[in-house]
Amino acid sequence: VNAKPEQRPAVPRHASEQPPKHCLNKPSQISLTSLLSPTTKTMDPFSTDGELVNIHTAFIQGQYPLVLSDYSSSDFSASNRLPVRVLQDRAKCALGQYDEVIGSISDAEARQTPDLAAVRTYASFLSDPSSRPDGDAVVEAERLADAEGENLTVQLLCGTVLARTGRQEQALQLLQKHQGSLDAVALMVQIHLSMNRTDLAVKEAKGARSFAQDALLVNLAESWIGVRQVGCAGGNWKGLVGGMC
Amino acid sequence: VLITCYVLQGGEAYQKSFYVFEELAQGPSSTAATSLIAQAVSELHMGRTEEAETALLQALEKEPENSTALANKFVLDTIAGRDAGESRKKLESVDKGHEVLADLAAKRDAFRAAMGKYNPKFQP
Repeated sequence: VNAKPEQRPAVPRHASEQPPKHCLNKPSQISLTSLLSPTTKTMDPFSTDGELVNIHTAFIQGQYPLVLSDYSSSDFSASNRLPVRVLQDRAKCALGQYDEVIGSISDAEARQTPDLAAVRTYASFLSDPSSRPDGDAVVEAERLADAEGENLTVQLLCGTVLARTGRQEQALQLLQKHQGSLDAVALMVQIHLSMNRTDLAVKEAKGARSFAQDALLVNLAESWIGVRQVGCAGGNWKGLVGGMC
Repeated sequence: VLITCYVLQGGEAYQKSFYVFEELAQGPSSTAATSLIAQAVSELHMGRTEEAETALLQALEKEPENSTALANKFVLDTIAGRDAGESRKKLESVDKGHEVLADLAAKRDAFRAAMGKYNPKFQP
């Protein structure tokens, strides 16, 4: 599955200028304990030598237009095309193009592929803020969470829907099923922070630091926590740093 | 004084977060509205309102309708002691039910409820 970097078909402009680790250039100021440690070799396509690393990095950095303009799923190996499509659909959602995402996934596709069912549910949830508490999208998200709880896309997207409709505990239970996914960890950190449980967020981030060393998402998660750790320069105001969901 | 204490206490955590966000936000190949907003929020926490505003305006230049950026602009104007009416209106026009607005409405209701328990009496 893991293509070597030089075989990577889709190398975006920014990747050739700067390696994805550029975020770690200030070791004296940031407590990056394992800055020089070698990257762990795993079968994870998101790992630093995987085919998906550039598009995934662009996504978590919030460069949504770039995720859409610089990558084409046909440039990726067959097994990575679905993750690329999911990332691009999530980028469209972040840019408010919900209807385009909903329209691009047929009923048959949604029935066959839980990832796409989750994407479609997530997009329709975001497209209609008025029907949030018990709308169709939320009911479908719950159904998917029960039926396809082992699927990472279901965990992330249905977890987001659940957390945003006040069912944070249910969302956390679903996300806990993840198999070493930093995306899931990052989302759990955000949910803990949204519930003012900085202590649990710290615990989650520490755990991720131990298996993922200095991955960008771990740095980001620790930084989200950092702006919340002392609380409130502005009264009860929580820093709204936004995030990946 | 209170704010100074918070900043002294939290300075280190804020500073660390700030460096991560700033590096992403200011890198030409990694910049995005999300990290600019995050940079602005950590600067706000450190009391650097002017720098925070610069970053927020950069974010709004990229995404003029970004509700998180608009919400933080509203907060920034309030902290800076400026008239926040305009930034609030802008936020309302993009996302009427935004977390900040809902929170503000809830606090206003709570204040009114508390006020209802007291009968103002005026001495002649």
